[in-house]
Amino acid sequence: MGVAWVKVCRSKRRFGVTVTAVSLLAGVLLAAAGARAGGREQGFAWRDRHAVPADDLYRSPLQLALNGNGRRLYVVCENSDKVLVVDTRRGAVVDSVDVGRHPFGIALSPDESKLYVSHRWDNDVAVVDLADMVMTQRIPVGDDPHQLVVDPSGRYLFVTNLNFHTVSVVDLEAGEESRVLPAGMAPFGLALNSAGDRLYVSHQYPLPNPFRTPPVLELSVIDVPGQFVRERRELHSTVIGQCAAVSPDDAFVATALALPKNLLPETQVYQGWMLTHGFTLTETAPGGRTAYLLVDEPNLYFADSYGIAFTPDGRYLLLSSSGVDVVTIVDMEAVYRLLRVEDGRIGISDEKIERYARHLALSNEYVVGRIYTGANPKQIVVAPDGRRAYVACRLADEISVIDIRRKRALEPIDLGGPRIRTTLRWGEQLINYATISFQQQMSCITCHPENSVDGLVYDIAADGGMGRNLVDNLTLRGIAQTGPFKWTGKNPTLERQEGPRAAQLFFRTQGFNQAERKAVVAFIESIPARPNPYRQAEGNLREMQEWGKELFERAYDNQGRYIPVANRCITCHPPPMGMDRRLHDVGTAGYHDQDGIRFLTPHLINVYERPPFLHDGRCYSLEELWTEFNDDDAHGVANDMLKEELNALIEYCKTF
Amino acid sequence: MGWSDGTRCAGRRIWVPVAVVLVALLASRAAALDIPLIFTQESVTGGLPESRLVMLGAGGEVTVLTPGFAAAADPNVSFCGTQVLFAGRVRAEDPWNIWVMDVDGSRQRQLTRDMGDCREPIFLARAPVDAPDFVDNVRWFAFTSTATRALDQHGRYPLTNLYATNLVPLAARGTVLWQTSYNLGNDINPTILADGRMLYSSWQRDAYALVFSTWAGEGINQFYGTDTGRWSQLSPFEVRADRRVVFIERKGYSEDRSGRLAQVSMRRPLGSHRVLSQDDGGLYRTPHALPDGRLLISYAREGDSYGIYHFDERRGRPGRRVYDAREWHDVDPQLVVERAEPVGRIPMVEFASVVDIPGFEGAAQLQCLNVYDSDRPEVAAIPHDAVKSVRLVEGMSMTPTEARRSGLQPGVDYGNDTWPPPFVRTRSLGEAPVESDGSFYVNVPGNIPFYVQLLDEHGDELHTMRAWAWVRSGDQRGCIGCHEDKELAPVNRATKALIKAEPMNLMGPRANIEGAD
Repeated sequence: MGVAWVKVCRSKRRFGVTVTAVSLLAGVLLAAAGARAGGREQGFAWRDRHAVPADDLYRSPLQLALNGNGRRLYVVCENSDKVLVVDTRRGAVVDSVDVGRHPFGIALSPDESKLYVSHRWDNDVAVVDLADMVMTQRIPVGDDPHQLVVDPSGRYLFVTNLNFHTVSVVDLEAGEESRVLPAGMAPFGLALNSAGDRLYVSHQYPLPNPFRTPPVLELSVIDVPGQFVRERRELHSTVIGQCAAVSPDDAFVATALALPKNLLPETQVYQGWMLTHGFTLTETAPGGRTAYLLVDEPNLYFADSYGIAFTPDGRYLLLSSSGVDVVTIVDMEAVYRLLRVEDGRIGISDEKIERYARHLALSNEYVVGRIYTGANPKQIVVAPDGRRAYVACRLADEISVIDIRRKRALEPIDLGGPRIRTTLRWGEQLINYATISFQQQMSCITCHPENSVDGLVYDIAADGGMGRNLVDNLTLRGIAQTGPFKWTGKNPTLERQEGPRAAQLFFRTQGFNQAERKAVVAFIESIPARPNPYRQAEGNLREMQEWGKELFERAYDNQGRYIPVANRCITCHPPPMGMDRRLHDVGTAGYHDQDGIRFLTPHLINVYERPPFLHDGRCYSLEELWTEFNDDDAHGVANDMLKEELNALIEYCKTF
Repeated sequence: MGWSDGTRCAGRRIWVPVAVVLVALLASRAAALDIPLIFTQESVTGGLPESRLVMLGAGGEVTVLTPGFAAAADPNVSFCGTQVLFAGRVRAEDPWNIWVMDVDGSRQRQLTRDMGDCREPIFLARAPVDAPDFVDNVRWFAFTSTATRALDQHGRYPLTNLYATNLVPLAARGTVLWQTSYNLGNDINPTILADGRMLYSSWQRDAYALVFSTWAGEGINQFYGTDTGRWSQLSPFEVRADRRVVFIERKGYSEDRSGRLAQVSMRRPLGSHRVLSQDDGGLYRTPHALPDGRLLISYAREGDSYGIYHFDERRGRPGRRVYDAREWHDVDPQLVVERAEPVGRIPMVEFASVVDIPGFEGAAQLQCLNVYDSDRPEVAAIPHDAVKSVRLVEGMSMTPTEARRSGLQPGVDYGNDTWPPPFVRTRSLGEAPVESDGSFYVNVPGNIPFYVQLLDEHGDELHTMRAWAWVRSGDQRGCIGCHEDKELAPVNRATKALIKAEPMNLMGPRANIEGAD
């Protein structure tokens, strides 16, 4: 016909290079990668089967810090273990510094002479001298450190330790962790008020709460001068708290998060049935209330809230939706009108707050801009003059630049990543992209943030009927070679798991096509388990762990009674992965379990980092596995153990 | 039914007119588009053909595409812009059937047979339906049909429902034909949305409202208009360029589906209704849009024939004329242009392992989170804990013969006020307990229309739903409330009914259909 008027497919535009060219190149590189050395952390050997050299060259910008005059932007690059320095006027990378493994958080010292960078895989913080652009010091902190904030004096650094559920206080003069503050579950983001005396901590996982009740995230409030937790606020029916920001007038703290519907059977997606996305606005005044607002619309969702930032005048709030490549601009005056805010207090009733938390169309009242960014937008920083915002676009290797006043995207800043798209990179893009789901309500990463878990239990209605066979979410880290999959072991391969099943039951679309599925599976199989802080080099065990190992393998209980082979821990959880790939009845079937009482033995790799436990997530700690859910010793003989013995057993289990 | 090979969207064809009649340019033709247009011409005088499809070329030439038909209408161009689905009758006495042809009018093939009058076909996304691997990914299309041979609930028209079938045979199963809507009013004017849903006009209490479901008939829900009084919303069309749905709106109903032009935004369908056309005495039909979002409409002043025009949105009236032949009503313009495929979807239909009840084949599941969650004042006013149970009542349509046996005269206006409507027989499927938190959970027969009654402790009716719902066989459906505010997402709550997880089997007297009351 000679007429072809088709809009450019966003997914093509988004990922840039042509698949054909990339596939050819990736194929060559894949062949060349076969001989890469293994022997690193668990999961890497499997990654090497898929990886090509280019995979480690991707920048994957994640977190940002902007200096006081807005001319220097420091960009943490997760894949390449670097911090890049961007001249914002030139829109170009002008310098870089090598840092530790999987850098994440970044903060500038008040005098702008130093940078602090957290390393998720090294469990420490780097001190970078900006004059010489070298890493001068590394200070150990807790497990899986995320965001950082320096106090106004420049003496203390606060660091969220996601896996230890703590916040480290680092004395920068002494060069050591000086205090550890207990946080909620999986502390992630930090936001300091302008006075510098209150620090707000957002969390990724919900607090332990009764079975089949809505998840609750903690918002911790830290007294900065006193270095103690002043308040523990609760954000109801929320999960995956990511970045946080304090309004310039210090009246509110905003947290990017999701509002899940995990207690409902997964029968549909429409009308926010699976989950919704947005932010909370919490009064900073003591005992303050929280409003929950969505950025979604009735027929379109903005999945995976991540970065959040106020403009300096407080007029706008910017929120990145990393699953749909959008930064939403929220008019805070409209929000305050809606919430009837006066003197930093929300004026509407609790009933209205609850209603607004469900309201899919209210975004029309306060969303004044949707800016399309590069792939997978993460943290946002706003220039001191409030004119521009910079957004780390993790899977595009670029910084998107937003003209806030005109509400439009400017020319992005290229961070110089590879120009090709490898199979692994494509797979990573695909699992981060919510267009796979109906109305873009969720990506794979929505329920697996940072390739891990969201700490929720789901009712997959098709598995035995609505309200039955509830299942705990499982991590993607180190998942290669842990098949079969599902708690029932029904899915023999990841390809099956990521195929029609996911499309039909979760995404309610046609799902990944065959080529996409291969890329997705390749990427998922390449996801390594994190370095385990409980594991010694060379496989050595500490005294407590050694004792736990004996208990794990024991054949006689404390009364000298023989423990049948089937009732020993090691029988079903043999090293090195702690799994036997078989179904067992360990007495943990719940009233809702319809399809049997036997469940697949889960692997124990980094088991400490993924509560809750058991197939239905009823159990919130490893200790409770034996103290609460093992009355008949069906889940291993353990009722004879003393508390110290149980502790030792747990310490050993953590070493897998 | 039977048909030959299916979609040709995989490859482009060179434009070669074959066996078409080139019609001289008419004096009335005005500014043609730079995109070819296929539309329907309905005879003003009532002669034969009653209607036909024509193409208006980019150069202004007009070609009749259906010279061998006594009537042809309802064109729908494939996403690749190479094929056209349409409804046609070769002889005047034939029923309407669905046909497919290339856009030049060649390779015409009949797709439906023996299904009453089949109209309004639309291309759907490709989809697989065979579990567990779902690899046979073929093109589907939907259409309306009077295959039940029954009357609608008011006895005014033949009952019209939506159907879906595959254009290309499945390797294992050949042709699959699904009835996808079970409304006992009528469902007409389907269109496909970018997100893969079907949007259509569905007769509700006393007018047509815009309703959507998946292409397989799952998840029926309100889009716009159920409670807006006696206004009907007809002929919806999604304008993807600026995320809105335009439609024809009129009080009541007329067979030519004419009225004023209106729209709602996809960003907030229930809160963004706007009438686009000024009242100048003219009538609009069949809105369509150019890829850049500008509207094309059919318009006529009283006594004139319909012509195709651009729509001047600023002035709220027809703009430049595209085409108008005085002896024809020129309606339903469809661009012959490649357009983006809608999002595909693997259906839940027939995935019946979850509802495997012995002796209860084709079952489905329905649960409601909270019957008190409602935007209906009369439901919201019910004291909490007053509702003790629900009764599901099945509705069955009547053929003209059955209606006459019941003393009803088809075509006579019995009004819209009675419920259940006069031309519907009903029977109870059974009652199920409502928990103190307002939740209930039932197994129901799939693919049958029913309504719900809220009952008090004595079994007396507190409220009766006045519309038809259904769940497709093998599907599971969740309701937030009894007509809750459709702009609200559900509360994240494990209801008492879900925690019990003991759905009541509401099968009704499935074995004895004559037992209807």
